[in-house]
Amino acid sequence: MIKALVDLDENLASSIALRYVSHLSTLLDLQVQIIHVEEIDRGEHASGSGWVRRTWEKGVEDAGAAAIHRLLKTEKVDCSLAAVPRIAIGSHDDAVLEELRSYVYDLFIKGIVSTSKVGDFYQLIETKLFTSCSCPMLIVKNLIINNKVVLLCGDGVDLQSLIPQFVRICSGADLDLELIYYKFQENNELLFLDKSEAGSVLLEAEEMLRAAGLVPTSSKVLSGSPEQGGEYLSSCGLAVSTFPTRKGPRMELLANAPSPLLLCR
Amino acid sequence: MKILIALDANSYSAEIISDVTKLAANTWADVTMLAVQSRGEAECPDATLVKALSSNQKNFFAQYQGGELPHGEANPQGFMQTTPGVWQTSGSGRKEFTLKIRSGEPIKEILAEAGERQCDLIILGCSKDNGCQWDAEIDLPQKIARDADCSVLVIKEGRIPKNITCCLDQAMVSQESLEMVSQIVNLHQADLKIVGLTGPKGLPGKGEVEKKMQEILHYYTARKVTTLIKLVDNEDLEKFVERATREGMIALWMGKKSLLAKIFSKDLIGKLVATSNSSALILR
Repeated sequence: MIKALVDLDENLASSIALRYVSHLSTLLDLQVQIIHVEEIDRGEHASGSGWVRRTWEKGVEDAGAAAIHRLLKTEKVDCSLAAVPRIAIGSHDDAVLEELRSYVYDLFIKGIVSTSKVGDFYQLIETKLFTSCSCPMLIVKNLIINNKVVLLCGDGVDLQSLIPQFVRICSGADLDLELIYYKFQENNELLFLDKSEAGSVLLEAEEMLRAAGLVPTSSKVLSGSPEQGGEYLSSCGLAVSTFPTRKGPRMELLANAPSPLLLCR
Repeated sequence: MKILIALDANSYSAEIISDVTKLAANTWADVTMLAVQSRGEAECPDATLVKALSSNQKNFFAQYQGGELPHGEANPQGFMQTTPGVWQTSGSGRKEFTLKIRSGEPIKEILAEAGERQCDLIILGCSKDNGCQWDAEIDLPQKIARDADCSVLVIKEGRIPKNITCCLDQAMVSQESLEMVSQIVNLHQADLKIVGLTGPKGLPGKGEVEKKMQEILHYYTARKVTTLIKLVDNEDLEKFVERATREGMIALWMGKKSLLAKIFSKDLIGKLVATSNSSALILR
C-alpha cells in the first residue's frame, strides 16, 4: 500500500491531478489523502484571539473544505480516499511539509499547468516544498492515461536512489517500461543513438530493474534539444527521474516534458 | 453545418477529398464543391473544371458504401446556368450536395460563394512547393485564410499532421469550433494540444483562462481525446506558434470577439498558412 498525499486547490491543475490519481489507483495500490491549504494574506488575519480567532479560522477552514468538496463533486473521481480532506490554514509549503512529516507518506502528488516559460518550472522545483520534501514527488502536468513509463537516466541521476524508490512505488503494476538516456544536442530532429553512447548506465539500470523483477521493453539514447526530448515524452503516462538539483539538460528536459513526472530523492 | 470545398484541377485539390468526405459524413454537412474559371470564357462551364469536379465527386462518394452518406450525387452533365457566369448541378439527398462553377477572379469568387451560402467552413488544398501554392493564383490559400468570414481549413499536399495545436480564444469558445477540432483530431488520429493565452494586454486573468481550459479539457476527455494543455504568455505566442507549425497542424481561433485576432495581424495569418509544415485551421 502506497500512502499518497495529494495537494489540491479548486483549479485546473488540481482537476488534472485528481483525475490522474484516479487513473494511477487502477495501476497501484494507493491510499490517498487530500490536503488543501488556505493561504491567508497578512492583512486577512483575524486581529482577535481566543473565540474570535477560532471562529474566524473555522470560517476559513469551512470555505476550504467547501472548495475541495466542489472539486471532488465536479471531477467525480473513482478512487478510494483515505479520510476526510485535511484543511490547513497558513503558509502553503509549511503546512504541506508538516503533514508529510507527521504522517510519513510514500508519495506526494501535485498538479501544475505547463507554461511557455521554462523558468516557471525552475521556480517550482526551488520552492521550499519541493526542496524539503523527503518522499518521491509526482508532478502532474497533463492527463495522459496509459501505462507507458519512461525512466530517465544519466546527467547526474543516481541509479541507486532512482530504481529502489521507483520499484517501491510501482512494483506489481502492469507497466510498459522504457529506459532513456538523454543527451543534449541541437539537432534538426530527435536522434536515437546506439545504447553504447550511454556507457554502462543503461546496462546497469536494466540489471537493477531485472533484479527487482521488472523488465524494460526498450533502452534508448535520445539526442536532441530539450524541446524535442519533451515532445518524445508527450505520449508517456509517467516519466521518472531523480530530483534535479541543478539547472542543466535534464532539468530543461523535465521542464519541457508534458508528461506527469515522478521525481525520486 | 455548411462546407465549401474550393477546388481546381490539380492533384493537391484531389488529395483533400478523402478528408473532406469523412468530415462531411461525421458532421452531416451540406457540401458545395466549387471551381472558378476566368471570366473571358464565360459562355459555358470550362470542360477541364467540369471533369475535375466530376472526378472529385466520384472520389467523394467512392469513400462510402451507398446509403452511408446523407448526400446524393449530382449529375456532372447537368450543369445549369443560375446567373450569368455561374453554373451548378445538385444531387438529391437528405443533405445538400452541389457542384458549382463560377466565373471571375478565384479569391473573390470563393469568398463570395462562402458569404452567399453562409458557409461555416471553407476547405482547400495547396501544393507543398514554396510554402503553400495554388496554380491560378500562387497565394490564394493564404488570402482565403486571411480574408474569409468563416473558418478555413488549408490542407497541405501529402502532409498528415501527427499533432494539432489549438490556440483557442479564452473569452469565448464556441461549441462548433470545439467540435470541428474534435473531428479533425479523429480524422488524423492526431494528438491534441490546447494552448491558453496569459499575460497583460487585455487578456483575461490566469484564473479565467484556466477555468475555460478546464471546460475544454473536460469536453475532450469525455470524448476520449488525449489533450495536452499549456499556458503561453502573450509575449511568447508568435515564437510558440512558429514552433508548433513546424511540428504539426495549428488551429487558431480568430473570431470577431477573439483576442487572438487582436494579437495576430491579418498578414501573420497568411504567413502562418504559408510557413506551416502541415495543414492550418483558422477558426472563426
